[in-house]
Amino acid sequence: MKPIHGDTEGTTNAMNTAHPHQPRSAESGILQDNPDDLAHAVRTLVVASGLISDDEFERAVALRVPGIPPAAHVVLKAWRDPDFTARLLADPHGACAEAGYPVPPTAPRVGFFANTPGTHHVVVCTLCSCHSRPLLGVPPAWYKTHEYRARTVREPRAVLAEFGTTIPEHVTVRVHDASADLRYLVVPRAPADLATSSDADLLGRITAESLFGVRHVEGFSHQ
Amino acid sequence: MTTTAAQHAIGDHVRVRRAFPPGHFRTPAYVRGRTGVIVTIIGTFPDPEELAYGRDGLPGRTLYRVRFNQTDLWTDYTGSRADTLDIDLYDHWLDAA
Repeated sequence: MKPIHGDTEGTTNAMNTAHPHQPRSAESGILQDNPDDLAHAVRTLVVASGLISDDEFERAVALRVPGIPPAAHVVLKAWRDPDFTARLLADPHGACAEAGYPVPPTAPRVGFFANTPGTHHVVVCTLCSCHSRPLLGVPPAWYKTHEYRARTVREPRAVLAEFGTTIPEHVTVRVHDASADLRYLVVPRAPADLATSSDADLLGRITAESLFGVRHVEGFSHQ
Repeated sequence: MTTTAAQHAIGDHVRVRRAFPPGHFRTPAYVRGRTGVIVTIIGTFPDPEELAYGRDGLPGRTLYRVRFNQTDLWTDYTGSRADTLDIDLYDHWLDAA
C-alpha cells in the first residue's frame, strides 16, 4: 500500500506516476492493469472525505491480510506473565488494552478461556460465525462452515481429532457456543520451549486455530 | 437502559424454553428443552430479538452463561462424561428447573 498524504489533488497525479514502467494506453483499464491504483484512489478519497482516518484504514487492511492475529500478542504476554493471565480472564478488555491491543468500544465484548492441564476449551458459533474481528481478523474459512458449526457442539473430540488434536480422556473438553453477545478466544497451552524461544518465534506459532482451540501450538504436548 | 430484573443466580438449574417462535432469536434448537446450570451472569444487553427488526431492544435482557453436560444434550455422546457445553442465553428463554 502506497503512503498517502490526504490531498485529493494528489489522487490523479499518484495514479499517473505510480507505475512509470507501465505506460497507460487509451485502451487499458485501471482494473486490469493496476488494481493497486484503484485501491490507492479509493483509499485517498475515503480518507480525504473524512469517513475514516488513514490509521484506521491501515488497521482495517491489516486485519484482512493473513498474518499474526492481534490476539497472539495478548496470548504471548499471558504466557510470559501469569499475573497478566489472571487479569486477562477477569477483565479481558482492560488486559487487551494493557497489552496494546484494545478492543474498540464499538466492537462486541470478548472473553478468554485459558486451557489448563485438566481442561481444553474450543470455540464455535452455531448460529453464524461470531468471532472477535479486532483480535482475530478475518476468521479461517473452516470456522464458518456448516460442518464445523454443527459438529463441534455435538462431537467436539472427533472434530478436534480431524485437526490433529487428540484430547486425552482425563482432560475435560469445554465447548463454548458464542452465538449471543460475547466473542470468545482461547489461551492455548504454552509450548515446552517457552522460556528459550524468542517472541517472534512464539508469535508465529499462535495461530487462529490455536486461538479458537482446535489446535495446540507447535511445541506443546500433553504429558 | 431499561431492563428486566435478573431471574436466576449462579448455580441455579435452569431449563431452556422448548419454544419455536417465528422471527430472529439467539437460542439454538439443540439446547431447547434441556437443563443446565448458570455459571456466569454476563450482564444486560439490548434484546436481539427486537434489535433484529430495527427496534430499540428495550427492555434489555439479562444474559447468562449456561453450562450443559454433553451427555444431557446428546444421548449418543461418546466423549468424557465430564465434557460440557457453555452457551450464552437470555433470561426470557430460561425457566427454573
